[in-house]
Amino acid sequence: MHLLSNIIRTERLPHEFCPGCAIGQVYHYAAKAVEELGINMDKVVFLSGIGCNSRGVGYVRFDSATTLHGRAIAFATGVKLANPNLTVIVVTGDGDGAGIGGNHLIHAARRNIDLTVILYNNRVYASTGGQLAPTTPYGMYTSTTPYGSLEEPFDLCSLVAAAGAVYVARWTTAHPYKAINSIKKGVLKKGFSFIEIIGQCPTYFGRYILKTTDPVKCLKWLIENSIMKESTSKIPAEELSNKIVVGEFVDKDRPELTEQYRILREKLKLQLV
Amino acid sequence: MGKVLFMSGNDACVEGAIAAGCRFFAGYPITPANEITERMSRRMFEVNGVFIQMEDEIASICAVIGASWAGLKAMTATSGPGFSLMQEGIGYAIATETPCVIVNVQRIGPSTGSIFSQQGDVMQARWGSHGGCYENIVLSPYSIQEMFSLTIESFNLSEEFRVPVILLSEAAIGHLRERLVIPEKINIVNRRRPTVSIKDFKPFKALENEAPPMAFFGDGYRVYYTGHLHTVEGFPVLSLEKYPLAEEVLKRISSKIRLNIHRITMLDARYINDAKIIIVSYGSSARAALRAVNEARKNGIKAGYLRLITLWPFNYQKIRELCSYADVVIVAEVNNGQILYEVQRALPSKNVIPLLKLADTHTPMEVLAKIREVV
Amino acid sequence: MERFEVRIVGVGGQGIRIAGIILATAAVIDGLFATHWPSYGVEARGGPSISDIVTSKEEIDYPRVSAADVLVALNQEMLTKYLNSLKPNGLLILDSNLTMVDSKYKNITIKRAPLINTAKRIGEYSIVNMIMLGVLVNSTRIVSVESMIKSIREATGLDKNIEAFKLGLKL
Repeated sequence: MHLLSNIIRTERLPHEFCPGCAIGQVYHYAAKAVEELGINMDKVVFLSGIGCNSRGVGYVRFDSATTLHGRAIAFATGVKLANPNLTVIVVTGDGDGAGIGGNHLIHAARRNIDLTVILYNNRVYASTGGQLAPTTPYGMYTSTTPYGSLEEPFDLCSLVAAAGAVYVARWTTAHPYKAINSIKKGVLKKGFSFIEIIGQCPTYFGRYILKTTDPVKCLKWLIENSIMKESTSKIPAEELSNKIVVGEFVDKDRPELTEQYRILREKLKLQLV
Repeated sequence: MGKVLFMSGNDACVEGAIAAGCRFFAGYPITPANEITERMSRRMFEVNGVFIQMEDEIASICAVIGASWAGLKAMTATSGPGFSLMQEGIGYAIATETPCVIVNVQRIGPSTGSIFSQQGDVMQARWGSHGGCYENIVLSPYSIQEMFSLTIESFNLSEEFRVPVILLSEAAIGHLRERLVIPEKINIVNRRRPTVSIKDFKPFKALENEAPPMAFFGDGYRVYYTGHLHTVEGFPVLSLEKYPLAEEVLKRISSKIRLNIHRITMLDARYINDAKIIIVSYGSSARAALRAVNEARKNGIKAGYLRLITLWPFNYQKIRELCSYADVVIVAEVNNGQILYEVQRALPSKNVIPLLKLADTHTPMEVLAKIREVV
Repeated sequence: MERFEVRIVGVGGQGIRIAGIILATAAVIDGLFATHWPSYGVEARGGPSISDIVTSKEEIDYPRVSAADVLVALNQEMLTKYLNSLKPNGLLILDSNLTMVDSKYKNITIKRAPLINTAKRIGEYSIVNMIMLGVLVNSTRIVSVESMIKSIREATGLDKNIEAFKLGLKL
């Protein structure tokens, strides 16, 4: 019996993911966080967009949807406003959430609506065959950058923090307990929280960029190339630009959208009387 | 008689939506649909509903679908350019059988066009989303009373058949002001909810002529939606060999509409029985057609008036029956010819001729001149 | 009363649209059927602005002006452009600053009124449309004065507008 058999739709196994893919880990973190928080699972909604990551929602036993490419946050906005009692978690990828869906990401952060967005970043478009993503490092070779990428990638945590998110953290699949802890914090946080998880994609990022399809080697690379936010001052700037900076970047409070709706409605009710 | 008001088509649409039970509106500013969005931003709060202005039309239709899953009757309103952006979402709502209402207050195109009225989105409303294996419902209001009543009807049909319903209005109707009588009694339809146990619930299992009961997010049924070709359980079909019944759901999303066409079809036929010439029209064009036919009758010309209220599904058989006595059928519409070709398909052996205009609406003189030309 | 058509023409900022709405609303308060169709340029101010009002005891089929029983003009250019929408024996209400140069409209009745000048004299250009409605209602009696006052109050909530309308009744 699976560790999370009350959460995983075991009847749907085997799954569609490549051997060694990080997506199973990411969903595991999310499911584990929900389980440990002890939330009524009937009131939890998982939404995703399109891409490798999005396939995962069909394997978790929650109210859930694989929505349109890039639009999960817009659907989630509708769900949460319609029923603020639901805990709404969006699992998205870097292409889905920051490429085609980047506009919804920054606007949801600006509105500070109570969603938890887990963005699994494998730094390529994987389900379509390893094309350039808005997160692919400069100079990297992908299916659509045969001469190397000429574009700088987004720093998604900085982007979302600047847009107004109240909780922002980044971890890799080599930091499972920290990632679970951050997801728990994000779910508990009243407002827009964003947890970026950099994960191994042996099939594309591994093969194209790390020149290995061995998931263990990919994970080792993630550990070796990650640096805690608190330690960044200890290394030279040029070295830092090649590192994955992990940690909590934002943890603050400001008025949440559905709560503001509730307050406004009550105020108007008094006026109308 | 109920309460008598005087308001614009766009305002009447909002009041109709609220009467139908709409409690969620997401939209994005666009002329000539702004009055709907603006009135909703006030009225939704007054009825304990939700209004949100989204970052674009794509986000608007997605938020509407999400709200519908969570159990609210939801709608959006837009015009041509925004309607184009919503097409992927509309297709997704069809595939996931999500009830919702989309109001398109049409304006001239292609592209940005201008704010002049046009009836150019008739085919986009029918075929605009990708993958042609679907049926949907499109209604065309011709008065302020119908902006009210057909908005209610849009919600009722949407709830019954779990399908997005498009209210295809026009700038010429959205901005027109007229008397509106609020009826004392309004018929409201709500989506069916599951009655079986959670274990036995198959979210997409239903008879071929109906939509399945719908569980709301939070009800405990743990429903999964996907735009993928899916099984009656709702999960993606990864192999057609493994799931030979995969087409069951795909077939049903069309058959539930097709098999109920007699109930969905609404037509307004006047002076038809002895008419040798029939004007077929809809929306604002029908106002000019009606005046022209009234004038023609006063002058002893046996002209008839047939107005399509339901544009899609197109009821070929009913049109054939109603036009059986006529020699000439004139199709008046404000575009390059869209419904014209459907009427020609319905009446292959009759003389079906166009009376087209590219912008604004027809005048009664133009319609009357055409009638005189073919007498 | 059978179908009666009124067309008001001017430019954006003269309150042409709201004047049309107020007139048609008054007709509905009187128990008539009425329609109002606005058309205007894309400019928020200064572009062409037209209000078509149709009233009738019966349901109105076509909601726009085909041959106006009354044409009201507040702008010279718009007058010249839309004079041909007036019925051969119709009534033309003109601001007294405007000039009628076209002599082919022999059978029409012309009513001149110092609409703009009166508004300027009071020092509120924005009430020119209310003065115009007063002249229009006094000349045609298509709606009752009581319903007009009710309609103006509903639409604007301002006493100065009602005063301006009453002033127009006497011009």
